Amino acid sequence: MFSSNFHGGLDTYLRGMWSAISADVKRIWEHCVAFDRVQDAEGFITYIKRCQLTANLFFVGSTDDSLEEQLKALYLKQQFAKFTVSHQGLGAAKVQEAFRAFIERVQPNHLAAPTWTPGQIDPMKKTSTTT
Amino acid sequence: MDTRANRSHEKNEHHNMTMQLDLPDIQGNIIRAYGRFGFPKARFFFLRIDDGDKGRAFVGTITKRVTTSVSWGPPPKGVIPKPKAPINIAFTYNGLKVLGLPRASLVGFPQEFIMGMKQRKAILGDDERSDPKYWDKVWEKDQDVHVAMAINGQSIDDVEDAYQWVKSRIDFSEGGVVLLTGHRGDNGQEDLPFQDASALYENDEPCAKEHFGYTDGIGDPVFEGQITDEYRVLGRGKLTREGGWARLETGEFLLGHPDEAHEYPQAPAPTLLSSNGTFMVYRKLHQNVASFERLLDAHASFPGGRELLAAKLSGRWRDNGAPVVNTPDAASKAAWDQRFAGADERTQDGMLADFRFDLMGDKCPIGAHIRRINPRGSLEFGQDGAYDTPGALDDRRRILRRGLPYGVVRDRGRDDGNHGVIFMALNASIERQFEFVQQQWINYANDSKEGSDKDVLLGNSDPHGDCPSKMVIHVDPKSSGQPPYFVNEIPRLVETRGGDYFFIPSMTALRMIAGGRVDPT
Repeated sequence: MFSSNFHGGLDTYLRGMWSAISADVKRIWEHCVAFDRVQDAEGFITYIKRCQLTANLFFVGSTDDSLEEQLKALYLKQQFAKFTVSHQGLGAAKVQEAFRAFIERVQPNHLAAPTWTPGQIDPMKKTSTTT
Repeated sequence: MDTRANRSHEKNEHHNMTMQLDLPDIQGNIIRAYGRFGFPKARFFFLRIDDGDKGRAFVGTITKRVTTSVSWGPPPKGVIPKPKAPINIAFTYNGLKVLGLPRASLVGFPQEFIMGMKQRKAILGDDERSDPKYWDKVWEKDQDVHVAMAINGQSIDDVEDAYQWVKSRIDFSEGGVVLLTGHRGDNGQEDLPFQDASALYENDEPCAKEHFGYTDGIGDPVFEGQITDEYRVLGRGKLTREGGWARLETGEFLLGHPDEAHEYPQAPAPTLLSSNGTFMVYRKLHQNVASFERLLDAHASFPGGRELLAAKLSGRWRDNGAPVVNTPDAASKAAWDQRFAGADERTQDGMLADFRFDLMGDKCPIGAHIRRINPRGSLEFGQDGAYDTPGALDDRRRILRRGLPYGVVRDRGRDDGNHGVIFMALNASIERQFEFVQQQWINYANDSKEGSDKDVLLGNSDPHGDCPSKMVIHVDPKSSGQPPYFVNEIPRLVETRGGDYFFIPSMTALRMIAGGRVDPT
């Protein structure tokens, strides 16, 4: 079973999948019935829609906010946690001054940047060194 | 006849009485945490079986000396005299295979048990210094460890006597059974043939403390059929909707009995092989004592002082185990101490075990160790009725805690050396119980709404990097007027040094295994 959470329309999503990772898509579906007749993005969309099931109980792992908003929210939450920890114990005036600088830096109303990058679970984590 | 009255009578009977277990069929370490029953010493060792026939003969001989769960002590309560050194035995999946269990039985074991602890390292968070490549050498070749043996003792001499007897049986097998070496020891040894463990001592008396100074094992669960004083159910069983406590279902800890979902736990065929047995997690956990002391020192400015901070991290005060939810400041602690000192044993036990957590965590932090590993119904977060019972989520994640500390701390200013805990967890499903607690409640905090914060004492923390591990110590903003306190840059306080998953068979199953008579058809 293939299941996915995404933001936007199904056609756009599937077309994007085909254009970005068509080699992987072919490897995953190659043994499935009638997939050999899928030749292009439009064929893939038709194929997936014909195989689509209606789910009455479905776990939605995300909100209705756009991906941009969700990434910005995660970024802000993480940055704010860091801010609170690093300014613990300072006087009110100093915290307020630092907070103004913090807001200036993280730009809460500016969705595009600074923010997390799509597809990264934890952008702060360095590349794992374990093999 | 009046069926309604009969039904109500049956219901009452079920509620008040505990079921009768087949105690002579159940290995003794399942029912009792030996450490609490006058056995402060233990030795653990591991065997490889190179010859199935000789291995089965060895298991047969050992089985005759295996300690069961029958009551000991003077009659009429006791059935046998108290043993000097209880002996228990358990097997890995590879061990059961070498001992000749038929394929149809082997395939019935749960996946995590078949895989073994090393293969589950991503789930358990055994990374960095906890990675299997740093484990004691005895675990180097995981296919080698077939049998785990545990000898507990009233004294180290009693342990040694029983150990020499087992060793003579190993020698008798003429190479069929091999004692594995490779445990690290107190004096820099790398290749010891056994792992010794011992309770720590306070004023020359064995106590239940571990190397960080906390009292361990107070909240050990109590289940149906377990022989124990009824008052011990309070705070150790499961919470009822009415706010009382009841024994957990047997099947959470013993195969072949219904569990909290009114189902029989997954177990291999035939029933005689699995019933009255259970699964054991064995883990050697090194404790970074100096890092722990430094963490407390680094937060010397914590309002309320060093010992209150230590209590907030774990949920219990270090001196006497007082639950911090009932003693959140110096005044309440002093009053509690006074009551505790004047109380009889039973009242003291209730003061230590019978409590619930506060909603907001301003008394016992939501991220405190004992609250994470056993939330006591607090995962409803004040929404009464969110689940069937307040603790419906935690009731399926309980584990029986066994094991003892090992080693001595010679210098509290150093992390290296040989000191830690031999952690043992007994449960019907390693995946649903131990692994879930380790993965979701120790190394992650989504359920407790604490983000990615880890358990301070047991988590695989990383003090460095852009987002160093932290913990929030909540306050009541209205009454205190204070901001919450953040414990930051938390170092990794515990490192895994070895371990595996074992099956503890019933006595019936041991005899079947020894006789090569396991028939799944």
